[in-house]
Amino acid sequence: MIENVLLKWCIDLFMFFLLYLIVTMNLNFMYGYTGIPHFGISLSVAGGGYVVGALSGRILRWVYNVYPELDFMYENSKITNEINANLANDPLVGIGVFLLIIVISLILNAGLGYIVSRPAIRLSGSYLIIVLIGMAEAMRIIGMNYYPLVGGTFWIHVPDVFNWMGELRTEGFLIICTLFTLGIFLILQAMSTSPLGRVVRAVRENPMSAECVGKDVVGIRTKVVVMCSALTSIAGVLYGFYIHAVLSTAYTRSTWTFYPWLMFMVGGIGNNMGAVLGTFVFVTLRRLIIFYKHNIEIYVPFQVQWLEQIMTGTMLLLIILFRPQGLLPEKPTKMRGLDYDKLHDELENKGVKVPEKKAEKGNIFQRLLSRRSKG
Amino acid sequence: MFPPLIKDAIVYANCVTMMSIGFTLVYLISRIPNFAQSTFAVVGVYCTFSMVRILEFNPYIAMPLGILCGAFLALVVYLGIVNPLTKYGAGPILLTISLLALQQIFLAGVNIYADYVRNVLNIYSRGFMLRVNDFRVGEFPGVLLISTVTIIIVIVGMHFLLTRTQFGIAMRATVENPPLASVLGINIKRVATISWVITGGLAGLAGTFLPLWFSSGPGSGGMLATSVFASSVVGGLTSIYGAILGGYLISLLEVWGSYLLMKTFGLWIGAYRLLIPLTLMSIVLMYEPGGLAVIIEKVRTKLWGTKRVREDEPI
Repeated sequence: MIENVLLKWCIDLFMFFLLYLIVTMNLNFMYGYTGIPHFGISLSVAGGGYVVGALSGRILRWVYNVYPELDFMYENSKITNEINANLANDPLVGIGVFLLIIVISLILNAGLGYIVSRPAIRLSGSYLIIVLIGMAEAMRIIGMNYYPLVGGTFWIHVPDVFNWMGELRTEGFLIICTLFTLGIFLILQAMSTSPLGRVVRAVRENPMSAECVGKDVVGIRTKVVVMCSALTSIAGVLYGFYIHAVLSTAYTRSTWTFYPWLMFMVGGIGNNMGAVLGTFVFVTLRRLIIFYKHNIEIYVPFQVQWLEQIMTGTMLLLIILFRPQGLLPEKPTKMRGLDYDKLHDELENKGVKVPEKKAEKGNIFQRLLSRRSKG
Repeated sequence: MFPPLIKDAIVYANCVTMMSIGFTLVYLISRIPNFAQSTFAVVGVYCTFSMVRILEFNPYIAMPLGILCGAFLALVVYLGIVNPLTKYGAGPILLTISLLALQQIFLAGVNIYADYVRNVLNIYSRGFMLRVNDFRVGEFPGVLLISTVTIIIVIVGMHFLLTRTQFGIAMRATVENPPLASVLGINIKRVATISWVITGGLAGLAGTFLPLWFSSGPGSGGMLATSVFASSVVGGLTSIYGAILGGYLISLLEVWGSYLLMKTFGLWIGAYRLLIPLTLMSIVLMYEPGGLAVIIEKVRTKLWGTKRVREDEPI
């Protein structure tokens, strides 16, 4: 019995780890590599969630023609139950709708990313921060007030597209999420070691000099925001399918903007492994707090969630004050196809002072993707 | 005979302008958007709440208390976080994140207070409105008169401070060029500390007026925040006068615009009121990022031909 609870808790923990990891890695690519302070990242997560909430039920209802006479929003649970019964032995439709929703969410959120970044993408950090925070707030307000989207301040049920997996549904979905997260990790890791990765670092370090050598700084920034908004929305989609519901009130600034920022500040900026580590540390901590919340609740005359917020806020401040580079600091990227050992020797022969050679350390993916010529 | 819409607009505009003056001041001195500012206002809101509901005094006794609380919090923020981080060489992004963290901590503190009042003292502490505790002069509610008088005093005081006093000139010099100002013997840290204290005091003061006219709670800071950002950006983030103009322009357009839209399209559109300042801000940023300050300067150059140089320009 206790093992069962523990297993469920571990699955839940891992699920949230994956969801937050998608957001954190994208944030890391935007801020850590390109220098775009995206403080409205909850907007993209909410965008993904809204797509799931608004479209998945409606598409499946149209496919199975369930209760065409009922109002979709008001009889939501009845319709969703009927759809779930249909989905239980229809894996093809389930997977098809899941993939379709992901594609729609990618396209819509890419467009959304373009729209929200448009006003201030060419301006300095502070303006961009103000605009993005405002836009995320606007997104939340639209979700809370536009009832047909995701049910306003109530919620909307999401059909269980993996119902055909039966007992193994949670585990199966976990594997699918792992695959998606791994895919996004590989895409971002490949991009950070590619020529684009070097360009975005140049844009981050000195936009003016990047412009001087003929790089379209605004274009690169826009591209990065658009791409990362699209990829982040996958976290929102998976979250919606995981909890079988979309709540507009769940996409607040503190849960989906502040916590991801905290996570990658903990892990280390400009470093995907840092994002992984920071997310893992923080999500574990947070799930533990949620698990033991009720034990504290009886002793204090207020809700424990405020205590949690004070704790996380203080944690972030302490990290900023005492270890601003995070747990894993950024390493210089290596160019593909360039022989660093040879370069090192050549520079040393010319009498240039170079740091000492270090043994190859990078993680397995870096080694896989950098394809260095040996010997 | 005085339409309630105008009362709404004026009270709201006074509060927003008071806060956007502070927002711009801090941006000028420390070059960071002060996201913790909206929580100073929430503290002001709860000062009035405590005065009226718990101690059962006149709500206006909360004014000095709100100023003190806001100023104290701002002092803590500046001396505790912003100044040490700037000393370590942290950029504006790191400072912004730390301010967001502080905002979260303060807001959680206010929420704990609200929960405590609710659970221990059994007083309803969220979504309250204290209009009944306000006095009236004829058909004017007290908050309309007092907030208007206060904002006039604040504007005149700021103008006097910036142009007629030694400190104001030191402040302007610090804004123009901090290293040069410190070479000339200006204590930059003192200037920045006092600017932060003024900001905190103004935000706390704005907060004390809010519950006397609007339904308030821990979320009312967030309600104001977007309008404050928008008015500061529209004002240009480079001058206090721009912030005053931007504050009135944005908040009056917000209140009246949403009223007009509600009249045309129906009541449902009122929920999206926040989109008005956001849209205006986006338009200004896309076409003239310098905001009203630059637009006015351009118009002046066009009319008088040359850029007017004031004789009392500090440096």
